[in-house]
Amino acid sequence: MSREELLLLRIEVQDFLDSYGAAIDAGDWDKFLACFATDAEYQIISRENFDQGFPLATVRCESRKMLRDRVFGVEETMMYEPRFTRHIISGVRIDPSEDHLKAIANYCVFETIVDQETKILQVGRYDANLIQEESGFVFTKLHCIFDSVIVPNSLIYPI
Amino acid sequence: MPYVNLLEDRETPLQKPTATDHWPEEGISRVPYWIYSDPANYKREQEKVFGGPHWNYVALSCELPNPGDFKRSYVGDKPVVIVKDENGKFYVFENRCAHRGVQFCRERLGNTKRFVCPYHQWSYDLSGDLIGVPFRRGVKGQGGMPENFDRKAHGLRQLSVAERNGVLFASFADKPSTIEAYLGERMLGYFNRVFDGRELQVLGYQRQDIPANWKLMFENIKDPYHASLLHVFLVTFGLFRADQPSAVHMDDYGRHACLISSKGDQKATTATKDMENLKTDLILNDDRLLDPKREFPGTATVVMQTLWPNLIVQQQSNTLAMRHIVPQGPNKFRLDWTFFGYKNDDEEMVRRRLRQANLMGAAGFVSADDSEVMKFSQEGVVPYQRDEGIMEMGGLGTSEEEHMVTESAIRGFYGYYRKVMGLF
Ligand SMILES: [Fe+2]
Repeated sequence: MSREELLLLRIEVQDFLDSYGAAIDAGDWDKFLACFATDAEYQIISRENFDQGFPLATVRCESRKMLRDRVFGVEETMMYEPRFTRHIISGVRIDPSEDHLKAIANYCVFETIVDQETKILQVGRYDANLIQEESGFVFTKLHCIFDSVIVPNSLIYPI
Repeated sequence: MPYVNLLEDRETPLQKPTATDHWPEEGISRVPYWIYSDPANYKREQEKVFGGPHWNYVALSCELPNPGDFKRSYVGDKPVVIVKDENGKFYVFENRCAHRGVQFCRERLGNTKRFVCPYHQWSYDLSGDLIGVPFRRGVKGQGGMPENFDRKAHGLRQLSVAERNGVLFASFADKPSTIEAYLGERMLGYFNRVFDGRELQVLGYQRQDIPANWKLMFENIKDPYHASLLHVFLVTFGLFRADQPSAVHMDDYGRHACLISSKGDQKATTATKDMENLKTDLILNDDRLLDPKREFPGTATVVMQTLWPNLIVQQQSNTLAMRHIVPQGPNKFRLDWTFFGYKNDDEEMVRRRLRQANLMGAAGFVSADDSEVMKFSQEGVVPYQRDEGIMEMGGLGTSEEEHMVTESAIRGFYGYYRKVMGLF
């Protein structure tokens, strides 16, 4: 892959990650789900657990269907204070050498709860595998590995 | 808005700014709101509840498999360290240097041969005894500690330690009762149900900072009334619902309790008509999320045990967790979750536990409802110190019940709380 091709691919991945984050911030759950392959694995896991090899994730979905169940919980069953998020995604690095495209990026997600100041909800890194489908990239794996094990009260929306 | 001249309104004398000693006449069917935020009451709780003759959960012994292993933990809001020494004996001491109070242990989990305070390098062995004081004899004949300085009198402050089937407890009391006597026969039975002597295995941790008073967490897990109503996920999938066989059991003092229930079908019955949130037509897209497998004797599929003063043992289907309550001032507590299974779990069971963990923790389909509602409770009561909540569901007493339409265990909790705190 030429230097130009690599650069272009990185920008395409950045675009994809930005639109993924924007879908969550907009509460556009169809668009969010469309970012995943049917057998995608999604986790929000603390760096503490991840680094020490503990498998427990704060959110664990083993398929797009399970992600749909998570979205269903967010929309229909869970009770929480009204809020919205804002994703800032940067530092995208890609590694196309394997049979899938590997991408790593930093994220910072801010949360604004009604009548309260904006706070940092979570800071961490995305560790993703992507494949190209007709519609564009989709995740086959997305691990959101968050730096501080402490969650400020509750975690409602995906990261 | 009628104009009122406050300065001239001297008819009623000004009330004390804080009410720290009054409990409503009705007794335990009421809970006064000042106990959720009063700073003096909080201090007293640290002394009487967490510092009193009670066993506080601190760790699972499988977290410290080797000699020299240690873990940071808390008893109330006091930081402590749990250590396993060369002979496999567990020690719990304050995470506070005997010299100038430095919190010396900064790693969550680790292994060491001794503890050294970084400030002046005082060092302690694995049992907390002071073994080294730099420049004790002075330098070039100058300075040094007094001749009569007794190292033995300046070790780390020790707590009493008890272990039962892989669970470690600590107490600031010198000679607390045995852990078995402390739990009492009835609660020990439920404890042994999960901790049956099999070796445990940690699956991972979660921690949440919840902006609410610590007692609201205990109330929540002693309150089966809310579970059928608040938790749409639970009722929808029949995991915990008012029309299922269930019970509230307690120890003789009302300080420990269990909410017990058995999974039912996903259907509407006459009893479900009050549950506005019940949705019977829901199915999971991926049913592996809820694929419970019976693993404990008896018919109960969920037993939530609250052990005074700081522990919730969670067994909901196959998701097992210790929820350690760490108060952080009257208006905030940390909930420290340790999810676990058994060492001999097969791969399928581990996966099942990890999937079902989606129900619990900071993002839990069920428990996020609770962390949200506890914040609402705190914000609701703080401005109204002189008002009180009402708890008359299922009567006024503290008897055990074979149903879940009751606040009996919360009344039991406050009955014991008042005795410990001397609040009458
Ligand atoms: Fe609850």
